[in-house]
Amino acid sequence: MSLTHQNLLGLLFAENQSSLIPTHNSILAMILFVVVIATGLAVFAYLMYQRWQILKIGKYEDRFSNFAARIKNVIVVAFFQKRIFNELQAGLMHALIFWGFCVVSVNSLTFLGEGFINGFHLPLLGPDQILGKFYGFMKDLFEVLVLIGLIIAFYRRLILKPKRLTYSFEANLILIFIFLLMISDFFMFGMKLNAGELPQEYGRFVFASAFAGKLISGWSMDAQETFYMVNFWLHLVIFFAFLNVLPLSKHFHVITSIPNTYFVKLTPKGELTKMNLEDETLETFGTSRIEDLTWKHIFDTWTCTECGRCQTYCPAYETGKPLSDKEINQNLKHHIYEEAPYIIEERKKSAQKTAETSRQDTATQETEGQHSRSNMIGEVIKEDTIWACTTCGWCEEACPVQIENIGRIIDFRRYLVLTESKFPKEATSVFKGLENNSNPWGLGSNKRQDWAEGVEGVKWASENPEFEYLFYVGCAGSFDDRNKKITKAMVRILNAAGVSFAMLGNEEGCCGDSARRLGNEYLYQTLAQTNVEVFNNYNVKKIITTCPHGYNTIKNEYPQFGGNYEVYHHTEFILKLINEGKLKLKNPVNQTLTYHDSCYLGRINDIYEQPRDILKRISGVSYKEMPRHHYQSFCCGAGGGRMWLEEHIGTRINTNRTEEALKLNPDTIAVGCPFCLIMLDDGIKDKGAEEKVKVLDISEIVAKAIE
Amino acid sequence: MKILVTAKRVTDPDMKIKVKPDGTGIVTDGMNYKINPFCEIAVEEALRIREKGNQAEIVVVGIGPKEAATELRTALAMGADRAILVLIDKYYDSTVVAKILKKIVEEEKPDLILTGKQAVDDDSNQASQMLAALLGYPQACFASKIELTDGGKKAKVTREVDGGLETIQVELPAIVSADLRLNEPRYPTVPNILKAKKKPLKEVPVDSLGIDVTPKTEFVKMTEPPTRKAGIKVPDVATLVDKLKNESKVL
Repeated sequence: MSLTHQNLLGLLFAENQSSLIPTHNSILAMILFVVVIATGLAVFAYLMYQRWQILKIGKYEDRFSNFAARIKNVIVVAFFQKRIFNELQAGLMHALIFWGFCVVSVNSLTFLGEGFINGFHLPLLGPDQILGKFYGFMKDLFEVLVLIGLIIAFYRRLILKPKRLTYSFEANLILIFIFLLMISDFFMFGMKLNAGELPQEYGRFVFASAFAGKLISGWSMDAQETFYMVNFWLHLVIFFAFLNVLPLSKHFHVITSIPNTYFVKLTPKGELTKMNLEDETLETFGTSRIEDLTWKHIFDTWTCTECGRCQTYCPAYETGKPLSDKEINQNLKHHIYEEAPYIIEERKKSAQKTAETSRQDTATQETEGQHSRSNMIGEVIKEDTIWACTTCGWCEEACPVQIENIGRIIDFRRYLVLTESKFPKEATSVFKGLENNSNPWGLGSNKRQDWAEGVEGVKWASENPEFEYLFYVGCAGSFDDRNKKITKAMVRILNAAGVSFAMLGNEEGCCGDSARRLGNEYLYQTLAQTNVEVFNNYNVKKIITTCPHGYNTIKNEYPQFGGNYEVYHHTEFILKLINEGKLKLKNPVNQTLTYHDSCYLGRINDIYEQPRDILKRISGVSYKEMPRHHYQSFCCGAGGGRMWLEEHIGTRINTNRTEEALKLNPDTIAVGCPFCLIMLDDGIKDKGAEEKVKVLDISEIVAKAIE
Repeated sequence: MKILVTAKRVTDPDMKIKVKPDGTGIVTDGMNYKINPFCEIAVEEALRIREKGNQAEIVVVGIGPKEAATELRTALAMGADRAILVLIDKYYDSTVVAKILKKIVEEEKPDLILTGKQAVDDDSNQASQMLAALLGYPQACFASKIELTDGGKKAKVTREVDGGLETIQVELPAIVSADLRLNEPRYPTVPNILKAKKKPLKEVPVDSLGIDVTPKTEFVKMTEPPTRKAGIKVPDVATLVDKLKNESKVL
């Protein structure tokens, strides 16, 4: 092609012409090209170095072991976009753009390579090679899909405006960038086809580019060349602008998400970290400063892209409490950005000083810092926010990139309780009750087995040390009048099925769930250690609990204290007994039932079907599902120790859930958790529906069916 | 200044209390103990007086078996500076307590003595009054507010009396006993719990004090309150009225 270059850059840099690609036209264009790439990469490298420095502020946490499980998680959650598709429309939008990015990134390398070498292509991907043709087709296909994704995204952002999103110019700008990248790529390929730089036959594969080329095939070659150059430089500049906007914005997500799914928490969902409380050199316990966060906590804040799925079924957010995990992530991130330079500077200084004078007084170093830092707790994250969480697990189950919010909230609570002794007033009596009498009601620990007076078939471990299953009754089952009935129903069921079991009676202690989730790790560890000792003295191997909170902490957290047991929730165990033919559901229960998923049973421990299975096997039962169920179930409001706290802000969580259940007109709301039972019972009474609707534990319904 | 605070080990009032069949005392198997709630309030008040800017050493004193150290550690974890445990292993009454405390006061010479108004186990409500008499110190019982006045030479105390509040001023050294509404005791932080483990706790055998510990009272017997009879259900109002009239004769 011989062109006379009466146009834009070509005129400036004109030399011998053989290619549409402007850098091939002149040395100056090549220099400019190299400058753009070098600047783009240098700025990006600098930004990433800064981020790396920030990441190093975080405490070490092992998120590297178990390579296979991590890779598997990346494939499922990142590449197959498993969680994204929990919402179809948004899922499709995201997946099309994400998959498009994955495919098109190869093309970007080709694009940059072509700037240097005429007709550059990656090995095997030339336009006349089979794989190259296939890739060309895929590239165009996915670029078209990206455009469809973008249309959905714009439709959502500009017209539909879902409640959970955060609306910003930045988000729209990114979409425009992507749009321009796709369109310019089509035109560049289209014009290369028009100019014969790519074989005509290749146009059958890069179908969308060929179509774009056809749109302007009527233009003169000069005009096309000018247009090509515009596209080329636009593509290049946007490419690097996009790259550098990422670390500076919420779109850092694009870079950190895949690693975030690699560094996922692999321990049980319901397991909180064990604190070292023996270290007397520590002045503070829990998280109150950036330095207390782990690197993964920092990484999580970068990964959040404000999609807001964490809010959708969050019991606190939905009932007007000041808790939104996406906001926590954003606020923390900005706080970290503001404070990190000072922390890095301070650390440098103190490192220099210790190098100079080995016996430097640390106290004087701290007072030298001129910058007064804003408080992470109280200012950045409000105390009401910290106490609003019920630890129901929704946010973590919903987050498409597996950001961990609950452990972090508990770490804040740990600071408030352990270091500051600052917590809602109601918690004081709970802590003292647990401390003195090992139950949150604070009733005498020697009254624990009083429920058993006059009950048939009660077996105590102290009298029958040879038992297979320990029936861990728990505090609610021992002290709460309503829940004592469930304990009694369970004793009947275990006896009816001929199970070898025993209970600890007054030797039993609180499982500690509420203490730990209210941030009182010190108290929790005392309670857990005491129980583990008692369990191990009786050589306990298998445990049945009627409370999902005890179930969770004994199963998932007691191993931290040397307590390793086979733990069953009573719904699991009852189903097992039915399946083994040991329990016969003889009597019909002619009722309309619905089942409320307890968070610590469902979301946290993935027990969804067993309770439903039991109900559906009882003849006469007409089963109805609430709109929010299974992993989308709505918390009763009692988790995370909230059972014991007043609900001062917003509307009541238990009322919200009760109203949902009442819409089904059930005779009975079935539950598998003593806390849920109390909360829903209260809700029913609030609504004046106690004559019509009962809240019953699964075991009570089963006890009716077997008698 | 120096503040001396008492911290009595008491049986947890939330526990089910059982009297031994021979009436010599209560069954202590599996019993939980705690710091007397009124003493806890007294400790808290001492800490608050210090936190208001008064330089003060807070010494906490307990009387009882070796195990009573647990309750003193609780007070130390709340923030007291050191503890004295007077070991005694036989029956003693409020007169003995007052005599022991007098001895401790003579040694420690505190400016202010804070006690609980009574212990929730025996409910005697005598020791602090007797102590004041033995020492000849002014005293203010049932305090619901304490304020140091006159540059820490006096204490203005609001007392909860029947039907109202009474405010009196006492010259230090004085004895003030804490009532329920004086404050809400703090919950110890972990750094303070850890520090408390290392704070000095001096054990003093009661014999070494050189005082006569013969109680003025004699323990005779303990009996359980009569158990309530189970109620009955009546079929209708007429039967109820009839029973109230003729059986219980309340109408």
